[in-house]
Formats: sequence, structure tokens, C-alpha cells
Amino acid sequence: MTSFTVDPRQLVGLPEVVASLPISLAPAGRSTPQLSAVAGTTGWAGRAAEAVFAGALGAVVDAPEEAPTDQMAGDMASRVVLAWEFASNPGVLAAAEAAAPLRTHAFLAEATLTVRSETELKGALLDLVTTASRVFGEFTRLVTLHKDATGWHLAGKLAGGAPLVLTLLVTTADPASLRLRLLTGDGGLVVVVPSSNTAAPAEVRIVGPDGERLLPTLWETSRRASWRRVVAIAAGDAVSDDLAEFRHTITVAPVSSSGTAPNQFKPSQMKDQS
Amino acid sequence: MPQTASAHRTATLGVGFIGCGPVTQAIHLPSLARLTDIFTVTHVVDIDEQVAATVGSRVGAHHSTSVDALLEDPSVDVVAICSPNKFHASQVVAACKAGKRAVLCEKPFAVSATEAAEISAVSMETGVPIVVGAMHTFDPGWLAAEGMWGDLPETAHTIRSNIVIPPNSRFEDFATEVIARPDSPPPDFSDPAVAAAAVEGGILGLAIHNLPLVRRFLPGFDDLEILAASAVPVFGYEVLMRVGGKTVELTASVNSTWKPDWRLEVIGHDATLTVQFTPSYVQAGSAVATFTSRGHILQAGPFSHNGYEGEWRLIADIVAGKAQAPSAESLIDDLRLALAIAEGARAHVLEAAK
Repeated sequence: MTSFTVDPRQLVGLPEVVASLPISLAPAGRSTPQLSAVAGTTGWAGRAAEAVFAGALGAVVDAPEEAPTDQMAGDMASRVVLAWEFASNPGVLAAAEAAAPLRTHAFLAEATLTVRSETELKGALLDLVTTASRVFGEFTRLVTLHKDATGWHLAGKLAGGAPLVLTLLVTTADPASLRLRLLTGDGGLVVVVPSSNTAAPAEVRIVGPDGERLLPTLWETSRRASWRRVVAIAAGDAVSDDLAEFRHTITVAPVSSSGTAPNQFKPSQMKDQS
Repeated sequence: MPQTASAHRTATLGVGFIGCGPVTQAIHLPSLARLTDIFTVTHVVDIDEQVAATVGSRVGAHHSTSVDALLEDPSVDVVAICSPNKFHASQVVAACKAGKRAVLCEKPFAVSATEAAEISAVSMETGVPIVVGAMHTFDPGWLAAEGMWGDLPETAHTIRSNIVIPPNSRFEDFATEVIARPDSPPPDFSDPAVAAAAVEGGILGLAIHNLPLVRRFLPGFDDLEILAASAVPVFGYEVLMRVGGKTVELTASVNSTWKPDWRLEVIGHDATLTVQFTPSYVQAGSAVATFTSRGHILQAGPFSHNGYEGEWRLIADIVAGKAQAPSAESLIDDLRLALAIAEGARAHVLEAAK
């Protein structure tokens, strides 16, 4: 198996990932790393493009906070992995597959993400919308019903017309976590995703007329899962469409491409979405 | 030495039921069957004489089709009003004026603020205590939560009520065998008027179970603002509102699922409370309350009885002078909040459809 080099100093937490993938990843030392880690703060798209143009075989962008620019396309873009705390959890990918046959006859879709500080709300919003998009599929542009320092409340509709409710809440009572529910006429799907601080697994439960099924749990942090993806991309075994997905996410999220504040809701807006 | 029937009767409170539908058959009679040392059902009334006769024979009670006959029956100490909502207020007033020792009225105990004020006046005048059957407020799991939550009523910023249940018949049939069950077809939500009516009906028929609990976390509700409201199949709603400076979300769906999920969640800056209730009808014990703060979890329940049994135990204590009846003001405020949300949500659905 091929090993790829990375500079563990590029991101907080990266040394732990390298230690947990010792066959796939190795410290670059003084040489140029083959895989680049990019912080998702302002200007991330430029930094990721620079790394790929300079020859990096892949780049992982940690929690991007703003929309990507058009600096990368095609082969370049397919080497970029966007690493989300919740949306990149392996359990979310399993939930997306399980949810697909339920979406067309859903009654209601909800996702609630709790964070520990008001300052985390903006970054968490994009993670939440990306997760919801992966699990619930297509939905209309979200409108903000209410936002303040304690939480944000957003609404939209699934492609099938079912109400969609997205909520961000601030509390220090528990670690950050995400809960999704897709309700159908005879059951549905519930996903609980714990904080990425540990490898505690997401739980995906599907309820139907024949009972309840818990999907096999995957004890892997979202960060490690993202780095396994970029290793596969660097090895030529996979490609990423994360940038295209993120461009779509931005169009339904209640933020402009520059990340400005959500708009306020007016009742008539709900009709426009139907 | 075993008690004779008459000796047993003098030691218990006689209960008369107005209305013998599924709530009486599948909720109250099974609850009272666990409290035969406190209560004896002595008289049942239903508009359908055959239903009244069948239900009365189950519990050895006199039956009739006349509310007046029940109110004049001296064996009836406590009147339980389980009739359709529109009759509640007049029957509560009549029971108070009949000088009964207590009245249990199924929710809502009135359908307007005017009716509620009339009931309050009569209750004050006659001194007859009134208990509204908001069963979750009497659930031992909820009562235990009150002892754990500290300053959460002041610090909570978000309150969420979630009710996902199968049709009542599923749990009625687990509780008892029910006769003369009403049936209704699924509503057509493509008609905004139908959707609006369904949301309004859902608030007054379903959310109303949790609204007295929600109100415990609100400093007031005169500033109520509905932010979103929509109907959820088969019978349900999704409502988001700002009230008392806090965000309240009400969600419900009565559908074909076998798995009920009846929850109240309260989120504060440094503490959360989740109360998971058992389904109605079945005698499945109390709710479980989980209070979390700074990573530490306190849990209360499950206890052996639910809120329905709890409300009957409270009535016994009120009659015995061991407990106070809920204040009329509190009952009226519970009703005012429910009516305000129902009306606001109905109007919001109609406005959004324009």
C-alpha cells in the first residue's frame, strides 16, 4: 500500500490522524507534503488551489466557512475533500443511503445541531445544511424563522413537499451533537451523531412496519474518515465532488456566498417555496 | 373479615361519568380499577343508552342517558366529564352547582375565554374544586422533574414538544376492549381551510397535553408570535413560535407507526431537560425525566403509575383536604395559551396559502 506524506503541523488534530493511519500517512519532514491540510477560514479556496497547483495529490479543507471560488475545476477540484465535523461522519453516509427510499413519502424532516457557544453557530450552519442535504436529498432554499444568540431556526420543504425544519441550539449541558429525523407514515429514520471529539459512533435507526433496525456502527471520527478519502483520491481509487456539492449547499443555505447573515422570515415566503 | 359492598361504598368516593367513549372506557375505568380502595364508579351517562348500559354493567354502576339524573344522584361525589369538548363548560358549571365534591373535566375544560371565566366564577362561588385532565401535569416523572430542574424555567431558551403516535385505537385496544369507537377519514391538506382546521384541531386536541408543561417555562405569553405553522400528515402539525422571549416548537404526527415518541425537551444555556412520556391509554407507568447539566445526568422514573392515575389520586387528596386544587387562574391561563396558539397557527396556515 502506498503511503502519502503530510505536514502534521498544518492543522490542530492532524498528528492524531496521522498516528491513526500510520500505513497510509507519514510525516513529510522537510520535504513538500504530498497531501495538504487547509484551514477552512477565509481564503481557504485560494489556499487549497495553491496547494493543488503546486502538485499536491490531494487536499483536505477543515470546516470551510465560506463558498468556494471558481479557481479550481475538473481534475483539480476532484482532489479536494471538505472535512465537516458532522456531515463527514461515516454514519451520515450510511444514513443517506438508508434514507433514499424514504424521501419521496416523508411526512416531515428535521435536523437539530447543538453547539456549545454562540460563536460556533455560523460554522455549524453549513455543516448542518450539508448533513441535511446528504440525508434528506433535495430541498428548497431555507428561510430563517428566527435567530439569536441561543439558536437559529430555519425552514424549507423537501422535494416531495414535506416540511423541513433545521435548528441550531446553544447549550453547554451536553457535548455538541446532531440529531436528524425523517418521518414517514409508518415509521422513518432517526440519526444521532455525537461530537467528533471522540470516535463514538453515529447511530442510525430505521423504523418500519416490521420493526426497528440499527445499522452497523462505525467507530471512526469524521476527521479520520475524511483523510481516508483523500488517501484514496491520491492513490487514484476515488474522486471527490465535494466542491460541487458545497456550491449547491450554498444556494439553499440562508446565507449569501460571502457568508452574510440570514434573512428574516415572512409568512408569504413559505408559499414561494412550494 | 371481607367488606360488604355497602361498607366498601361508604369508604370510597362515588364517581359519575358523563360520556362513555374511548377515554372513559380505555383510560379512566382501567385507572380506577387500580384504585378501588379510593373510588367506586356509581353512575355512568352516555347519549347512547346501549353504550351506557354496557359500560355501566362492566363496573356495576347505574346507567342513564340523563346528565341531570347523574347530578341528582347522591351516590356521585366526583363528576368526571368526558363528553365532546363543546359540552364541557356547561357540564362543569352544572356539576359545581349540584354541590359535588370535585369535578374532573377532560381537556379542554372550555373552548373560549368567556366560558373559562364563567367556570372560574362558579368554582369560586360554590367552592367545588376542578381538576382538568391534563394528565402529564400529574405524571410522577414530570413531578420529579420539577424537583431536579433548578433555575431552568428562568434560563431555558427553547422548548420543544414532540408527539408521534399511532392512532389512538392501537393503544385503546391494548388497554381495554372498546365499543362504539368514532371514526374519521384522513384530512385533505391540499385545501388550506382543511389544513388550517387540522392544525387548530391538533393544537387543541393533542398539543394541549403538553402546553401546561410548556407554560411552566414561559414568563408570560401576551407576546405570542407564530413564525411558522403547517399541517403534517396524517393528522398533525409543525408550529414554531416566539413567546415569552423564548422559542417554542410544537411537532406532532398521528400516523401508522407502531413506535410512539412523546417527548418534551427544554434547552437552556447550561442545562437541558427531556421528559419521555408513555403512550396514553396503556397503564405503562410514568414518564422518565432526564436532566443534564455540565455533562452530569440526573434521571427520574419510571414510576409505577402514570398521570391519569395521578390525577385521580390528586382528586382523592383534594377531597380529603390533603392537597390544593389547581388554581382557576392557572387553568384559565393554560386554556388561554392553547387557544392563542391554535388561533394563531390556523391564521398563519391560511395566510401562507394566499
